[in-house]
Amino acid sequence: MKRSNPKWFFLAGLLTWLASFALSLRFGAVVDADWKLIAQLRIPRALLASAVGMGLSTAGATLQALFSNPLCEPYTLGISSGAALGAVIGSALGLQWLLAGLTGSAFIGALAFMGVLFVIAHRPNVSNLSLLLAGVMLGFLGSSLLALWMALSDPEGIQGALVWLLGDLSRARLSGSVASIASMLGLLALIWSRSRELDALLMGEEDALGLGVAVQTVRKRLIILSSLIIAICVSAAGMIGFIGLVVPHFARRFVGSLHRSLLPAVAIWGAAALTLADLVARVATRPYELPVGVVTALIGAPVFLWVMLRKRATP
Amino acid sequence: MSFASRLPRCHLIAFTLLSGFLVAADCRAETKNIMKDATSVEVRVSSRPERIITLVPSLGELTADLLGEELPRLIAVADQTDYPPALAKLAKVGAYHRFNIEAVAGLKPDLVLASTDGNAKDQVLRLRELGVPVVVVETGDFNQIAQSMRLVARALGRPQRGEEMAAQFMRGVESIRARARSRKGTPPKVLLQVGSNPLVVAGPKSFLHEALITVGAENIYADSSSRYPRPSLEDAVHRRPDVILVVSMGPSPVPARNSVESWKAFPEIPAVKNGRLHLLLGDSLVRPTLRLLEGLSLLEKGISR
Repeated sequence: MKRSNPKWFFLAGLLTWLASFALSLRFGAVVDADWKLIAQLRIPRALLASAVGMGLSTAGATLQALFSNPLCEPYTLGISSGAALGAVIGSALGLQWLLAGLTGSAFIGALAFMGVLFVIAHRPNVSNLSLLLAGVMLGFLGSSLLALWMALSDPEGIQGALVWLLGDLSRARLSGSVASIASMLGLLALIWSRSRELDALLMGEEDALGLGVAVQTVRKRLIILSSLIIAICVSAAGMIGFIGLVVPHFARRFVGSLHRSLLPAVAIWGAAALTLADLVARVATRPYELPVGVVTALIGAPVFLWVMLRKRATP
Repeated sequence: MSFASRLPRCHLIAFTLLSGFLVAADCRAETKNIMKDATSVEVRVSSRPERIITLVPSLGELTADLLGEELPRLIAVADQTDYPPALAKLAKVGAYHRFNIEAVAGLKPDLVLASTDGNAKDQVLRLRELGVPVVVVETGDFNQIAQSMRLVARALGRPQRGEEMAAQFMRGVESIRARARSRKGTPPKVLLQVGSNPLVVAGPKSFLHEALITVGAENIYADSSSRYPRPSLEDAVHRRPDVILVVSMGPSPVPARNSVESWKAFPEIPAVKNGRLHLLLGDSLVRPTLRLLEGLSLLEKGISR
């Protein structure tokens, strides 16, 4: 496959992100929005979309290396659903103040689901496909527990909860969005500093050990970092699927699999992709808003099938 | 000049300043009313709001009724706000259960009317954060409905009209209640269906429950914990209602009509066996406004047929 210069690809991503950000500020439910509306609603929302897009895409690329499986991403592996479950239980138990808002309990949920997946992945004779199936089942389990919890607690509040579960960026506040961007950039930098280890993991455990990588330690670190990213994304914007799958695959075609150049490209294109998807969600059927998770799934699910079939055809 | 002779002048200046402040404060109080809404939130509302948005269909109706010929002060409504017909032409801000916050804020309303019976708490909160004055009403029972008429009327700057409307409403309810008391026999056990697929019925915390009691009926779902319970079909059949009333909502009566037909598959239900299975056409029963009185007579006819 021919590779273009990573720098150009990154720059193109930056321009795409800036353009989608500008379009997001310009268009919405209201045609002639004034600066106040843009400042109070559209800027926080576009910032949050950027942060979450960045986070989910990077988490996707990281999971793909961690499990050496190209179809992994937070949503298809059920980790988002674990985070959502954690967030809902945390808020029901009133733990917001103890655990840094809902992110803390979402983090525990994500980590728990990730742990189960890891145990499954390290059993003998577990293929890539069965790992994915296990993830999908975990996702179902999490969603069902969420539905059960909501049905039992507040049948009238279910509408809002359902919107959140399908991915909802409308709750963005400026302070929260800025905090999300800042924490996301920090976490991404930490993952980026492990680029070499990620490359090694992708080659398999034995090769990685041969290269002098402390596989267990690195894995634990990456699991914690990506769980934290997923927890921040889910507690702010609900479950948004497939961004973590589509963006890394798209980026790999242009910059290759080396994480040193892949991760920054994935982050910036992820920000651009979700900002654009949210613009579509807000504008396509105005004044009705589509859940942004529906938009990303409409594009992402076919891509998932395509990647899966292509991989099977050329083993 | 001695200190003593300067004193009165100081007083004069102080007095002038103070009265100036008082007048200024008074002016502000004149242009803005501070009122407590049904959720005990204090809202500052202009004494004569000119850009009003309503977030549930019944509030559009109530506002149109209270405004009369000044209807143009209402600038946008929620979807399905279709009565009086003039409202159907107004700008829409989305469905009541998930309206578009940007669409509401973008119209720069000076008064937004919302209801706990339909609108989401988090969305109302967000509007308030954006500085939009939102007055929330509650319509869980007839007293709250009368109170909502007074509250909305005060917010619109027509308190007198609100008092009259609330009194008229309570008088109407009272006369229907008196008629029900004069009827002999045991009250019929009624299933009041407000939605099909899934089956949704009137529960004890809704004004429809009070409507049933008022017309002299017994609600077979009075024991439910939810405002609009969704029982299984099996449970509904098992409770053997004497009367089944299917309320048709929205523009098309077809779903409700189909629902009436599907009950006929259960001839063991007394209501079906005795032909006391009826379709109630029109939204009047489900809109907590003055039109609810029409709805109550409709309900009255429905249980006595």
